[in-house]
Amino acid sequence: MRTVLPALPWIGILLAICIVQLIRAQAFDTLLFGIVALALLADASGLLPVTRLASPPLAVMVLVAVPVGIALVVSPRHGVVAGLAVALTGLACAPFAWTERPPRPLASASPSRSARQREAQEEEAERRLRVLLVRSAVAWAVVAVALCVLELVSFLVGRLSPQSSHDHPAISELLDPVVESWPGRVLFVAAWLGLGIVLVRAGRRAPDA
Amino acid sequence: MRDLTVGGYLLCLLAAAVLVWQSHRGRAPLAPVGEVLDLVLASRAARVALVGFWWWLGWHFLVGQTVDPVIGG
Repeated sequence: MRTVLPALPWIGILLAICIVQLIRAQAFDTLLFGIVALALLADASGLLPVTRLASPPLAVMVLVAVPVGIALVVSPRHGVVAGLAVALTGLACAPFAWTERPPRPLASASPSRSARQREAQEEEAERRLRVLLVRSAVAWAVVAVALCVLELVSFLVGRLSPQSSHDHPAISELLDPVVESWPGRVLFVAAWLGLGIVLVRAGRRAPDA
Repeated sequence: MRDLTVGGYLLCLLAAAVLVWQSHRGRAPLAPVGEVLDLVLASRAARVALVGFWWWLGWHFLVGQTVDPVIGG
């Protein structure tokens, strides 16, 4: 039985998004987040197999992302081609998201130092790095939570009337006309694919948390 | 009121920019974004959740229904 506790906050976040999608009356979106939450719960309970898969080289990812990006920019929004491109991108990324990553090796000190000195130096460096990383993760989490709360409140209040929709626009409403324009869509697609590459590659150098 | 809401979003964007700036200056009090991502995404649950949400963003803006109708409209 794997540890369920570390996965619980992420399962909770996915279920919260699932509820928002239910309010939006978007069956597919609700199902998507619900299935991912259930898969994580099953995984945390040890019911699903763990895979070990190395991330593809950056050059390969970029080579794949470029034609996908072109297809998404030139094809009509909400069309079949865009749907296929996004769906295939997700299917290609899923195994790399699911895979177990090896822990990051510790930085080695000068070989001239004694083993004890080196060990103490490594422990101190790792402790400092952990403090820095946790502080940074908390700072980013505060910004992310603030954005999510603002978006959620705007989404809920904005649904009540045309006036409140104007007064409390959701991020989707603000970005929709931007993505509709050609330059805006180029920027959005580039940012989306770039973020995907970062997410699929990140975590592989991380310490054993 | 609309300006206040948009201002809130922009404030979050500004806060993110400040965090990136703070993490890259000399004797930075924060770790670089890449290091933070590596720490967070070392957990498979975090990686699956964030990759899932990232994929949905693409679907939401490029394929699915992006803007919802107003109930009271």
